[in-house]
Amino acid sequence: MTRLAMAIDLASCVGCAACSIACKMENEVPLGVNRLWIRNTTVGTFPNLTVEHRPEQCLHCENPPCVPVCPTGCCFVRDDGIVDIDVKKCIGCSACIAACPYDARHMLPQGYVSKCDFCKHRVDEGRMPACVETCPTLCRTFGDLDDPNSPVSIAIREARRVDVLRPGLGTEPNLYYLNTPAAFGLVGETGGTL
Amino acid sequence: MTEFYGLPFSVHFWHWPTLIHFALVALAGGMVLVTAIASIKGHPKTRTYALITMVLIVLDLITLWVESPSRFRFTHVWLFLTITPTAPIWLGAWGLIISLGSSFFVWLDKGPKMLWNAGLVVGAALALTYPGLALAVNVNRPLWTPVLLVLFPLTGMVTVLGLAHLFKQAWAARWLVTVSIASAVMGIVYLFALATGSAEARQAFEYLWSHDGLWLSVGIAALLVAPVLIRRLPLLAGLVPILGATLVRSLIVEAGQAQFFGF
Amino acid sequence: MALGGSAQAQLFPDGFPNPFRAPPGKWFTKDDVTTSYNYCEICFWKCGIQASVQGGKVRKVDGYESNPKSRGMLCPRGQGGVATTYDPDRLKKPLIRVEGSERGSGQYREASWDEAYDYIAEKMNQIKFEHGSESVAFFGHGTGDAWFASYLPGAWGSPNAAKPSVSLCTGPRETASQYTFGRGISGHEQIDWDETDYIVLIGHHIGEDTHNTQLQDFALALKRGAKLVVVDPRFSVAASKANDWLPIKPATDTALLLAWANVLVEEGLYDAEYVDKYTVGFEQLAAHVAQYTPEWAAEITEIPADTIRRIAREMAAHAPRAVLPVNRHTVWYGPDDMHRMRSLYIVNVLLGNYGMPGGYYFCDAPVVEAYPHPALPLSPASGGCGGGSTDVVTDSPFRPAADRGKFFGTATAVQELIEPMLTGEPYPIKGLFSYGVNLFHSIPMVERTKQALKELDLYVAIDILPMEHVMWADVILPESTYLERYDDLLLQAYKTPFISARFPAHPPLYDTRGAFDMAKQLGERLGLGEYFPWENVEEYLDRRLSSIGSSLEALKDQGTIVRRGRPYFADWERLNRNPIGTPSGKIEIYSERFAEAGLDPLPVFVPPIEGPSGMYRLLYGRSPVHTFARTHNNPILMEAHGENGVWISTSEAAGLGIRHNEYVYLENQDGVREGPVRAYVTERIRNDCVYLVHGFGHKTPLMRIANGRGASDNYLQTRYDLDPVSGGAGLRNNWVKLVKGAPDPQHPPVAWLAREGSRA
Ligand code: SF4
Ligand code: SF4
Ligand code: SF4
Repeated sequence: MTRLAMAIDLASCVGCAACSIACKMENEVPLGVNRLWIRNTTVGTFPNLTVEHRPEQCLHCENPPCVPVCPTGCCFVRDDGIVDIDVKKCIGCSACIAACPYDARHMLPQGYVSKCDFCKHRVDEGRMPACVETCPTLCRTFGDLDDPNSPVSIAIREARRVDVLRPGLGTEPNLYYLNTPAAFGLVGETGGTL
Repeated sequence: MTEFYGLPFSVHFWHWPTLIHFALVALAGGMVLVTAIASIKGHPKTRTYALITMVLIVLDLITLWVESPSRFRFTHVWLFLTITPTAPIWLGAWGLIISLGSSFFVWLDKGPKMLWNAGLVVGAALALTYPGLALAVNVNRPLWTPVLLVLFPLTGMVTVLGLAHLFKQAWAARWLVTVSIASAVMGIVYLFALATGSAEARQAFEYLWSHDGLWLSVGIAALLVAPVLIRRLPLLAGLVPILGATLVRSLIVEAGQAQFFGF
Repeated sequence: MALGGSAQAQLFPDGFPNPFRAPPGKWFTKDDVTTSYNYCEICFWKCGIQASVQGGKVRKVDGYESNPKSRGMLCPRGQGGVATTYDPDRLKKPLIRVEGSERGSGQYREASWDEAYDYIAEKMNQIKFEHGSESVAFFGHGTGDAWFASYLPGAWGSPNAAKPSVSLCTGPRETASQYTFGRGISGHEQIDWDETDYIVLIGHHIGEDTHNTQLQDFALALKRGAKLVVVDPRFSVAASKANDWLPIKPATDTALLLAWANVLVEEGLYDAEYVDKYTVGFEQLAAHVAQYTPEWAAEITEIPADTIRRIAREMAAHAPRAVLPVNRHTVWYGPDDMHRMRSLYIVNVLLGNYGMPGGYYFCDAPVVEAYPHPALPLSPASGGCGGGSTDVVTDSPFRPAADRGKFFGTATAVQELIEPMLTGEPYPIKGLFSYGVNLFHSIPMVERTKQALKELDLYVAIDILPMEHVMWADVILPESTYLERYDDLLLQAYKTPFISARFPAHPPLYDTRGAFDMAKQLGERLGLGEYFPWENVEEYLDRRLSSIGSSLEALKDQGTIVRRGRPYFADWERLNRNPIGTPSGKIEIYSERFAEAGLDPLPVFVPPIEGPSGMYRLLYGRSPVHTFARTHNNPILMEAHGENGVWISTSEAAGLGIRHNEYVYLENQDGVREGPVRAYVTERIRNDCVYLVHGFGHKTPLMRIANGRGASDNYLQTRYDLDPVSGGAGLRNNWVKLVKGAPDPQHPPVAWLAREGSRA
């Protein structure tokens, strides 16, 4: 089995948005919406500070809340774990947008839903997703979780700390955040202090 | 403090046409139930009710079609070509279609009545519950709680009963009073559960209360008008709960699109 | 809250979708995708890229593995910079200012290239006749500046060729490096990131400066476990990765560096063997720095003496694999700047890291012969960010550059050529070429620049976009973008020196040309044809490449040719050569040449210039998604970062009653106002300064997206302090206050503006 996953090492990420813009170009994401964006949050008070630079995108949840609510079956999970959209079936009801806990989905002007698809056209050719390829801090890794030697498996194994977004919802994301700068983990719903 | 490069799609994905749909589907769903009961009980106005039901369902379907960004791609056909029972909207789509068909035959007064009655009951159950269900399944949006599974069918019924009362259907008054009170109680339960819930629920409550607190109170209060005025001012007693129920539903749909994540 | 920004997300640039059409296939699903090699021109880093073209348009650029600068990766600007080529606001035809209209009034008529060239040549000849060829100045920035700020002025005979990348940027570090090591810093700062274990950044904004390879190396070094110390009045992105952040009082960095030198010397922590073998002047230094104790520095810098000592000891413990990297923009506080850079180098030298693994490596550009041409009558000292700032014009029949005598160094200072336009002293400057230099967003004292432009007889602007200063020119020559033109070879000094080439991805979209063609055409009209003996750019490049046994055709499939470098002393010693180019042949801690010139032979601390009370020192820096002031009409990049905010500390903002995100005006010590600009209230900055990202605050409706967004630091820089050694203009001695009550400018969404633009 293949279980595709991505990991972002927040100890390296500088929030530069190269990934976001690469995604925009690669996937012709129209102005006004994003498949990938950067949330930079300052934590602490002068001079005890840190900044969490956190890229966010579809997490390709193991247990994706967006898929079961889709009334036409246009949202589905590929065999390799990519949460995908069969756009020709999309009726634009926005149920999946409502269900995604991460605001990862958006409506396109053409009237169908879109989001990060792990650059499936590249993955299918054996290339890295555009965001992973371009990241100038090399903080993004991608690959098969079932392969212990894939870059992502290695990165997760070697990480000091591994987090996912909104773990309480049981979505089991396949996008992992490694080595959060703040000791308490990811900056969450309720924030936190150093 | 947070700043972004690029923004997530943390905006309203449902707009005013969706609110109209939520109002119409309440009427339609409620009317299906009324027709079902009337048909089972052999009420003399059953055929009229069935006709009204059909009109409401068709109106709602037209609204849905008009508001759909893919209205000209006719992809809605996939609603009926796929089997996705986990999707409230799929359940709703079938619920409305079954109701439409059953109402049609009830109106025609042809065919196996038992079957049409069964269709109407199933259709009513689906059509009345699916709007609340479509919201409540989104556990990520804290304003859409499981309480809506009860609140939405109840408020839906309020609108139909109010309408029936306006049109002087004798049986309606009693039920209007009961269901209105139940709706108001559920509305208060909804708010109370939020205000005393998890940290996220409380944050959501504060958001809701600071944005829409006043109107929500007005809406709930309006639901209590029926029991008080039902004898003295029957016209108002019918109209005000309809408005109250619609207001409460709309506010919850509209405000509930917020999720309080990362802030 | 979660529902914010709805207007932004609901407007789409594509207009109304065709309701009957199925979702369109994306570019990569089409079968007419081709690729071509290029190097990025969105900033000066010039990463190797591969452009994917589909349907006559570049859809995507990617880095490629064999190019040492991109290594397959690109920064945000490189990724999104492509959109500038398709910017509907571009300059599309040569323009001539309507005769009789005033400069700056923006009245133009379209002209043919011939007419434009003739017009320019005639005016130049007239200036030459009346005032001499030196009276035409040439400012340049970008790959084509080789033609417009070196070659053409050299052929024409004007020493007044200058680049803002010197005296408004790298000047102090280059002069300091020349006089300490006898070599410049290369355009690619030669820090041996791969090997270093301890990094001390001084106001070096890696992460906000997204110089691709530097960022890669930095991140990899940290990942390897290198320790990081960041000295900055602001909690920069780099600081967020640091083990120690020292929030230093602005303008006191030299004191800190001298105190570190003091600790290294006093505690005997320096690399005695290295110092002995490679340097001169250590004794003088030891005596000199005795006065600069950590206690002394603590008073000045507001960094505790214990911390200063501890960091010095940690550096020493990791030496020679401890490094204080040189940054790029080094014109900070004026009189202090060259000394600060010298102090920085000297601390590095005391750690024994220059020319050693984990410190600074040596790098030289690969050698490719020039296309044979007659010797130029003059070689202007325009310098560049890649060194070369000590070109000296000797035995020249021409008058020296008009800035001579104002400072010690020899690289021409761009800002010092403005005054002669106004005063005629030492001789008048009557003509000006501005090739890719944003006169109003890089040179301080914008009003003075505008006055000076009014005095000129000829002002030619060569650019891609109708920047504000461009619309003051007599003749505007529209340039093709990097995706549409050939250019000279990129000969990159690097740990592994390399050669890369630029191939147009498609023909120019409009009636535009590249610098190469413009220089030749103009040269021919000026009677300088003999200096431009090549037929065309392909022939020129092919001939040059043939000198190394390659060809244009070969490079087309290859993109980059990589050479071996000689990074360390050991590599040079093996060849019995000395990389140090000083007169003594050693690293000159003590500079005899400075002493002879009456300058301080050892770095000294110059107390900071203080501002009026109640005002904040204006610091500035970069956004990761923007370059200079040139990417602010690019919809992709502007959507990511569409306006700057003025950073102010939470406590100061509270005192002023200013809320986060509230619009304010900035008013400087001379009453110049900028804004409205958002207040960015943050814990991440000291109380005595405010910070702006450079490049915003464009003031021209011709650039729809850029216009009026944010505030310009350059317009607020109405004074500067000259570094008497390098000629750099210290820009951080300007002060501002925040004025409440600015209206919300209600910028329309970028998507909307972009759509309007493409419809027009
Ligand atoms: S490109 Fe890399 S470093 Fe930059 S924001 Fe994206 S993940 Fe972070
Ligand atoms: S992140 Fe959102 S869109 Fe992606 S799989 Fe999870 S729920 Fe679905
Ligand atoms: S994997 Fe591809 S689609 Fe997903 S965020 Fe990265 S670049 Fe965008």
